[in-house]
Amino acid sequence: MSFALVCFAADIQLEVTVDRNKVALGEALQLSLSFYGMQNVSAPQLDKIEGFDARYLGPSTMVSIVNGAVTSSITHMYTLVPLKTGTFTIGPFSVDVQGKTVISKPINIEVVSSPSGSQPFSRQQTSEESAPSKANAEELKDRIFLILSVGKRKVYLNEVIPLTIKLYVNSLGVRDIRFPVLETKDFSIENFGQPKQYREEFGGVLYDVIEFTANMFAIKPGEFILGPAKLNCNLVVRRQSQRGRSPFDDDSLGGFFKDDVFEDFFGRYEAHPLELKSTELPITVLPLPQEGRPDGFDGALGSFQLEVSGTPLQVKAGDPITLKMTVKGSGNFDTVKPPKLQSKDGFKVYDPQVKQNETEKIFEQVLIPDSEKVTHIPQIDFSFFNTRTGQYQVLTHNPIPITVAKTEESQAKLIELPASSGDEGQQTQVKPAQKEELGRDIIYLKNSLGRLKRIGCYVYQGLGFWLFQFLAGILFIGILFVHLKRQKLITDTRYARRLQAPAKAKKALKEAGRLLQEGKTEAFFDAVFKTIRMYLADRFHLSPGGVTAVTIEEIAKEKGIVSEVLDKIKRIFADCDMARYAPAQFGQKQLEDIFQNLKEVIDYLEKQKI
Amino acid sequence: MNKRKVQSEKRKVKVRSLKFLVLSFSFALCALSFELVCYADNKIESSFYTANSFYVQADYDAAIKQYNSIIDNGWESGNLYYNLGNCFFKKGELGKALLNYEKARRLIPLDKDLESNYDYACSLIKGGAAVSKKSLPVKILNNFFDKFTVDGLTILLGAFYLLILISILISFLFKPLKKHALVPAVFMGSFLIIGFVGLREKTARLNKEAVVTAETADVRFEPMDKATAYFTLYEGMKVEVIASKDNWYKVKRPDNKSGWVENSAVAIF
Repeated sequence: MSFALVCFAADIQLEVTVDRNKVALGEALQLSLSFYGMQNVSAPQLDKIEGFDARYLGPSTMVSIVNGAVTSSITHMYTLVPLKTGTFTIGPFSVDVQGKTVISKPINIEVVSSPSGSQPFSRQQTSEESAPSKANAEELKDRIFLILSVGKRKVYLNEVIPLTIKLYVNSLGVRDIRFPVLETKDFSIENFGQPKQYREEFGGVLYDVIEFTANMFAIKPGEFILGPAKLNCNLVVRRQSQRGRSPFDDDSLGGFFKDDVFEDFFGRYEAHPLELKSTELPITVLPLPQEGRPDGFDGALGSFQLEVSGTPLQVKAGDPITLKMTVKGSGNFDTVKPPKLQSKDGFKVYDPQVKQNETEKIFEQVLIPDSEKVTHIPQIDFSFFNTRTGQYQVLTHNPIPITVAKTEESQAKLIELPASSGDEGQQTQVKPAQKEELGRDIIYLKNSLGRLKRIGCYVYQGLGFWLFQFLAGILFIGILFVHLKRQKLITDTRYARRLQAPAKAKKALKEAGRLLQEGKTEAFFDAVFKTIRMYLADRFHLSPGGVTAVTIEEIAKEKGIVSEVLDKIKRIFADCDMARYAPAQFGQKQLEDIFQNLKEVIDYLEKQKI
Repeated sequence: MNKRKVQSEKRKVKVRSLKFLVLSFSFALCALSFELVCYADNKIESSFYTANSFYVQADYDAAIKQYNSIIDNGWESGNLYYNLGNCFFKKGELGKALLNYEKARRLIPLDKDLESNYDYACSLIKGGAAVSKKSLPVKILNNFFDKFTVDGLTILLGAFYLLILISILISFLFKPLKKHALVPAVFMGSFLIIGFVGLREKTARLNKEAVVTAETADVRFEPMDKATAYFTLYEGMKVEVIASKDNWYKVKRPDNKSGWVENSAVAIF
């Protein structure tokens, strides 16, 4: 059944609802605080609600338009888990919103002992029997609680005390149970082992019990308080299911909202985190008494027996004997130190190797008798404080007789080799294990001559070797030179043109000479003009069109070309110009002079290092 | 025309005959030289195996004579000196045995049998070995180059030289490979320089080292019999010959002590 109250504060309305007003222990109910008229209201911090443990679930906002009127709201939802039976009043809640205080009216809720429906669901444990009904008010802490107990309240320093923490659960679903935590600086507590589960009657009620056990011991004397032990788990609480709803429940906004969103199949149960605390235990830690403290007491506490054995008992001087000392019983084995040899004279003693389990601690100590005069392993003492009797106790093992033979140094150590198969293991070969003496001599002759060579003749003295190296060097330089020249021709245009100029000029001169011979005057002048212009352009890295009398004169001055040659060049250009208009005025002799001048100019320029 | 043709034909025939003669002569010459070489090889091998059989019969003098006959003909090999060293060792002439082992070491430095015999023979030298005063890097380099023969090292350096040239050419001709080619070239160049130093050292030691062949030899301050004895050399010890005068050698021990010793007491190799 839903129960709703509406409060108005100016234009902001606070509506407080619960999904039902009757709930059983082990179930949960939902509390909704809805603010109408605005959406930016933060979740109110609920004060401790008597009889309930509250947990905030989250907000939900809504905007509705009815006949053009827009209404916005925000609902903050909480889960309430009842802690005891009875009738409780929730609220009134007072919330400050934008400087104004809105106050709700209280709601009454009845908490009953057991649910009317099915038993709560539990993953780890399910109570099959319903909880015994009680006439008196029942609390949640009666259904689930933690009990801390120790073996003794009055203990000695370093004495091992069994520690038990029990979790009792009745008619509740509990899951995600963590290991209990016991914060203390006065005791050393081992890790808890695997917990035991069983049922136990406690105060006439049957409980499911989870028992955690560990050993602990006090690390300083005094009066201490142990606990409280804390244990975290999740309580599985049932929320109202659809099937369980009463037809009379009102279908308010909160109820509708909750049903739609949260009450699906998986959502009927929810985990409510719970921290359980046990009661505290006063413990008295007594220091070990000084009275009667034996010499050589190393702090061992408990009740122990000592067993000693030595192997082998017949040895040669210098051979090892293993002494096995076993301390058995109950107590704090961490405090048990190796039993002590009364005397170490005549032995070389090594540190013992230690093995430990729950009921015994074994010390294996190697002793090496120095000489054949040693006749026994000395007496071994082990003292401890008996926590049962409250008195010191000394365990003594009598000297162990041993036979030590003299070492025969000259005698070689013998080793036994396995018998051959024919002897069927009846006989064994005995061979000396002394260091093998190896003979030494030179290795035998070589059967082949090997590589013959002339005496005093070496490769480095041979002409062929050096000639080969020289030719390789020449070839290398040649290839490199050709490569570099090619690279320069590709990359350096000026150089390439300069290099190709004489060859091109020679070819052109040959052509001009042929034209002269054939009497083709116009073609001759054309060839001469092209030759001189192309040659000069290539020679001085000019464009062919840029070769004019003026540029040539400038270059001649710059490069130091003699005036005679410059005049010849000018004359050739002038004659070529003239020949364009009146080629007929040049006689054969003049043509030959021009040709000759051209050759001389090219020859001169080729010879000059310009 | 016909006469000319005939003359030309005759000339051709003559040229052919001449060519045939030259070829035949060359072939005969080659065959003869091959025969001579084979004959020489056979003779050398025959002497070698005869010497080995003398050794087996413990006739070491005869074996030494046979081995020496090969050497007298101007031939040598590492195995030959090894066997000769074994003969002298068996004869009890430690100095000559070590002399021949030393010669063998120059030709087959990596031979394990030789190394074993040499070490054993050295262990028998009286007076113990003098400690070398050379610095550690020089010792390391000497040990390294002792693993090479003179010819082996020469050919190796020649090969490195060619590889360096090829690497440089590759770096010029194929630009993308420049880095890959130059790095090994630098390494090979470094080895080439060190190798040349080693080769020079090795060749400088040729005919400058000597083994004491006399049982003991006094090394004197001056090259004369009456000069004060500086130290004594024992049979098998190796010394460096640094000068000579008349019938005296100036020798230097590995610990850099030097003095004069009669040349009959040592054998140069």
